[in-house]
Amino acid sequence: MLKFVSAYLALSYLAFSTLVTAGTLQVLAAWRLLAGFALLDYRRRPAWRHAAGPVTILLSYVWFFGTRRELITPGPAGTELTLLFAAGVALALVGTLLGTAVLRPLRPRPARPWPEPVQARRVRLAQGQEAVLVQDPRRARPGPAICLVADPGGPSGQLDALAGRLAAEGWTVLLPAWDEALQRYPDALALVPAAVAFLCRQPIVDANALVVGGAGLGADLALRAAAEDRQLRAAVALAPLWEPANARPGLGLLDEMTCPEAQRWLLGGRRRALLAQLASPQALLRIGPRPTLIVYGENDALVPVGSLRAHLQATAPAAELRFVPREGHLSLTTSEQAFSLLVGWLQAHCDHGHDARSAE
Amino acid sequence: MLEWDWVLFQNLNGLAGRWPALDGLVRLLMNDYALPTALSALLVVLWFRGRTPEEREADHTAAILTVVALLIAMAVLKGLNLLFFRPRPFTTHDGVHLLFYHPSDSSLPSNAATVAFVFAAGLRRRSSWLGALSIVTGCLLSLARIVGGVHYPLDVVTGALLGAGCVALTYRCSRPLAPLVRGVRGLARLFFLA
Repeated sequence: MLKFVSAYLALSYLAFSTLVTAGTLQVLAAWRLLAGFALLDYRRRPAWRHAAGPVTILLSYVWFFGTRRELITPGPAGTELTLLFAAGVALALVGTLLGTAVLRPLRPRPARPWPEPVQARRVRLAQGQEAVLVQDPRRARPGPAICLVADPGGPSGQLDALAGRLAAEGWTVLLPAWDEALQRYPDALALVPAAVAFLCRQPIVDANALVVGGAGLGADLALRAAAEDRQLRAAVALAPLWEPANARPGLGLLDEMTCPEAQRWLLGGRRRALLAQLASPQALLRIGPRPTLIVYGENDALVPVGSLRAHLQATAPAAELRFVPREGHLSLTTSEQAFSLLVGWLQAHCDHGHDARSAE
Repeated sequence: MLEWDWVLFQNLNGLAGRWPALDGLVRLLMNDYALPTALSALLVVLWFRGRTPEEREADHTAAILTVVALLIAMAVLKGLNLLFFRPRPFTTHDGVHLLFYHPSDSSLPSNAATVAFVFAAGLRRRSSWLGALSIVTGCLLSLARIVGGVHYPLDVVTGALLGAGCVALTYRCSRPLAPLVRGVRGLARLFFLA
């Protein structure tokens, strides 16, 4: 039979253990850059990064030991304290996960991802899919174009910044929306051909300089599309997932996103099914000898990047694998380093003969 | 009564009651809340610190086995308290400086040292720095309990051995515990926590 002795002391200890665990989770969030636990944006607030957790723990100790005079009188015993601590851990986890879910969407985002004079407009593809066309309106002569497929479970506008950067470099960029109707096999295979057909009809697009790219699951689709369509001159894949095993629910997802974002990212099980059916590792083998760039963040928590280099060298030596330091799976799509790498690679492999800034 | 146990107790307990600042520090270290909570928080660190799925699986297994060892240690303590009773130093000797309330259960083994060294031995299995930190914490807690007058040195040594022994026993029986580990991890995975 449990005996808490003093309800007041037991409740105080519950609050104390909750606060200490919440502080510990902030220490871990800052140390391991766990997005799902980070109540503050530790990337943007480096000064807070290593202070928030220890300060919370210290203040909890000061409050508990500075205000409770009953601490050296009989209180809850070991079993009761263990239960209270476990309840504190549960409360701290729930509070932290809810807190990050509420606070993360409130963080400021760049209002306009398109640099001057790039313009974006909504268009509709042949089969009714929505897309955004991003280009430099001053461009007069046909030039290279890229179809960028975003991850359908990723944050909205995840490839906007990259599209803006590419458009500023003279590329016409099409961002097709991968809506739910196409998130099953084989319907998904219709998305890139529809986008390519649209791009081919644009007067300032050179149909011989078309590239496909994507991020996350979009990268897997892009690789599959490149394998199917010989017209596509190259493929770029930002953090493809390759296998259903890399789309399992688990703690790895909280490295990159909050709980509700992780739930959305899983696409209700459709992601795993799509990964199995898109079979991007096999598709990669069929793309060669056309150039293919595969980019990962060094801290990608979803794909085991450590073993990837040796695996790709053995199976697809024509594919170029690059890593971006200090980036994760999702942050790769907003990384300036990744953009520079991608733009440089695309210009080296696909932009020969085009005057990227013909309008100037 | 072991002579060395009493002599060592007298030397350490003799530090109490001399300097108010030291007494305050000993009270902070010896109470049931401060250091046990810190040790429990280190277990939370162990659970979430891994980077790769393999590291995480090993860390989670260690954390779950440590909690199982803690439950076994608590059951053993209850059993020992029913079978055996050693009076506290302040009840059998005059002149003991007591910085704490009068605990009424058996002095041997020390409950606090048992719990602390379950954490220390459990954490040590997976991380040398978490292990070292928890061993230092366990030693501070044990020392403070002697200085504070509630335990003989033998009590805390027995408690530490009992705690470490329970962890060793749990690891020895880890195979039958594998379904429990899988079940806990599976449940945690539903909430993206494993």
